Amino acid sequence: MYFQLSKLILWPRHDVEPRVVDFELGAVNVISGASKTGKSAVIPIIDYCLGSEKCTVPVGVIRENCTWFGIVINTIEGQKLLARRAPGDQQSTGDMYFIEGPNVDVPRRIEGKNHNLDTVKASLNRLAGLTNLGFDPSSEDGFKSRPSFRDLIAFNFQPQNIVANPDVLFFKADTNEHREKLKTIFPYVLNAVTAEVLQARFELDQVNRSLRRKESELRALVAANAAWQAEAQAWVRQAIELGVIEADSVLPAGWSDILDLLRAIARSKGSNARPSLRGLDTTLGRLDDLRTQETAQAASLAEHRQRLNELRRLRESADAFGASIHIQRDRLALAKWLRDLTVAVPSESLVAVGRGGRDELLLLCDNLEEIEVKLRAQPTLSDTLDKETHRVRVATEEALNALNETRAEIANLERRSEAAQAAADHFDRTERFLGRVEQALVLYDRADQSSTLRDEIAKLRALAGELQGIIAEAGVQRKLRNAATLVESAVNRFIPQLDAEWKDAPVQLAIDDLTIKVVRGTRSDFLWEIGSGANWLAYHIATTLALQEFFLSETNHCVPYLLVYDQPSQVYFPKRAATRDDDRGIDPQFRDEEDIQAVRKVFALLGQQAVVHKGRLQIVILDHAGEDVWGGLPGVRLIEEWRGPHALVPREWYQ
Amino acid sequence: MNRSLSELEIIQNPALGAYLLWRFGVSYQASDGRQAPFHLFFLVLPLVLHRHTLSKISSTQRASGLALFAAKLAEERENLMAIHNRTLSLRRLSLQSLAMGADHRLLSISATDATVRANTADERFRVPTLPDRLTSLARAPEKLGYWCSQFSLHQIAKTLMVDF
Repeated sequence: MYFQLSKLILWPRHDVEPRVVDFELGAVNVISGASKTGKSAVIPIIDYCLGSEKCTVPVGVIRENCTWFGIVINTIEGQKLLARRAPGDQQSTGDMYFIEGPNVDVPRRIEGKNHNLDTVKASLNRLAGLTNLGFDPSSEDGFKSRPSFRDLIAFNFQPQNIVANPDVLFFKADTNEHREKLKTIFPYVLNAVTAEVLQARFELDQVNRSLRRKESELRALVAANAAWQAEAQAWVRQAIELGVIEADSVLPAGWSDILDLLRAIARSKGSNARPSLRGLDTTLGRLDDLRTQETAQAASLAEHRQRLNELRRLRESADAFGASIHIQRDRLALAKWLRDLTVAVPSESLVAVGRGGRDELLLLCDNLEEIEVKLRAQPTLSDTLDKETHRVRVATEEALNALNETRAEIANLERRSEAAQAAADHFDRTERFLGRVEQALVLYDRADQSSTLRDEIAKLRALAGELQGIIAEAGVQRKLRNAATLVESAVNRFIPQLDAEWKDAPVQLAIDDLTIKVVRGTRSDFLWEIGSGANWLAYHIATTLALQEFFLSETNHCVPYLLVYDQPSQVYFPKRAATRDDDRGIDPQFRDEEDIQAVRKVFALLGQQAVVHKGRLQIVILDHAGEDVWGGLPGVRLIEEWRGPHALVPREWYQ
Repeated sequence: MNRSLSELEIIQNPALGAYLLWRFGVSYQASDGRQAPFHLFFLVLPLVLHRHTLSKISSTQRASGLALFAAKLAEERENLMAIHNRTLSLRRLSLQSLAMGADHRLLSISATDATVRANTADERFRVPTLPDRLTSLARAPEKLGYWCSQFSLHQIAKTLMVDF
């Protein structure tokens, strides 16, 4: 991706002009400078403006004196100004200022944000033309999520702690999170896994799901049909039993004949002798009336019986006395009753009656007794009770008859209604049976060989096969290997031009370990197994350049065609024995001419590549080494020299 | 009392009984000032608190008298003969009603001659206005009181076929 750094801008706290570092496009831009002038802040500032999670700009002069950091980048869409608010005391802030245009003017001050981190990242993803599909459809794993512009930065920056690091080859690959993501996107940036493959992965996942569902549906149908065939004879017999087909029908033996017969049964209209439900309702209504009547008649009968009993009792206890009878029954005997009550428990009511007390009560009883004795002098006589007995007996008889009649009608109606119920049941059963036959036939047809379900399954399988072809892991591996071979051959071309120990030893890309291996005879050693800082630097430079060459071989690869190296020459400087109080601006010195030549080789190769790619590749180097080391090389330009009064942050900002 | 009363308890309650007995006594005394015999008070509730009998009382003119009433009732003789048993059954209720009447000075029981006096109301005594449903019930003991005042206890017992 054409993505070149045009400006790096710092906005101060005070109201003065912002500090702008201009870069040259399509060349090696060297910022040569002494220690502590801000060289190592450049990569963090660019990274922060490109949307890093944390701000790694060193705490100190830069953070204290700047309110916003910004970069202007040139893309095929034109220029873009990406500025981000300095985090102050926080780790980072999401406030961003983002403007686009053919040419962007750097504002004197930024008054406030106009974007946030997420929208800027989305713009960068779009710019890089990255797929928005993840790497694994079924995984919620963050490492397998879609490739993002942030992941691509790994191929662009080589800060001080990485550029000659034997353990880590790529920017930010020193944390597990980034390592895993980088491994995942490596096949993507090497074009082994394309957006088409990712899409095929997602489609295949979808197809497989739907295939599994349809297959299980078909299995269920087939199983149901097998069971149904097994009991087909029983279905036909049930049809005969319900009278849907003639009882003397011959049961067919062949499945297709049975099927035809069942189809005929399903078409038949069920019983014609269909009992009317209205008729049933009338019966039930009458039954209800009769039951009410029965209750009343039973009550009347009970009353008559009671009377009859009473009369019978009277007759049985009576003595014949002339024409009349003498009825013998318990007398009221109020006197005795009261007296007994008084003697037993004098209750409240008795006390009230005998207001004067117990004696008064007893006196009352005596007087009552006297009256009663007089009353009993003559027996109570009555006429004969025959007439009454007869009348009551007749009445009882009538009541009984009426009741019996009602009961008989009820029983009759109930029988009839049971018969009606049974007929209705039979009708229902037949209808239900026919419904079941019809349903079973529909299911059978659906599971038939010609059914669309099988067609769909066949289509889905074909589609799955096609998709498998696209995403074939073997194909991916082959493409990955081919791409790696291209990169490796470029590395092998570059290494002899650098100061490496084994110039002819072939180099292999170890993608799973995110490093390289050097093949010497029967051995192949990982980068961390090889000694010497000079070797580490050489392989870092060669690998990053080779990858860029691979990316540049495409018209518009997603990785920006940009490389930034921070102090590649550090491995050639002797370790400083001691620090002086005022070591600002003090440059370390190279040990000998040989080291100078080694550093010059690095600059020469980078310049050569910038020239070869005709302005499509931009390289930025931040280094101690001055023009005396790399001067006169084609494609290499000094942009700024940060020595003496000059540094990234102007001295007047904080003095 | 939380328990709701049964229909039986509502009808056969001593307060209503006391009221009915008082009306009976007042009516009995009205003709010649004689006080009604104690025994008669036990016949009032069995006659009045029986729907069929009550309807016969209501449909018999006051002037017709007890005899005609008994004859009407005896069209089906078992109805007349049931009075005795009903009197036995309601004996306790009658006693409670008498007691409540006595307690609230509607009635005064005289032990010496075994009679009950129905105390007539003075100006301060307000006779409660009865709901329409109860007017026929309240009139029946009045009629009975008048009828009984015309006969001796003995004759009443024979007419109503009650054995004291």
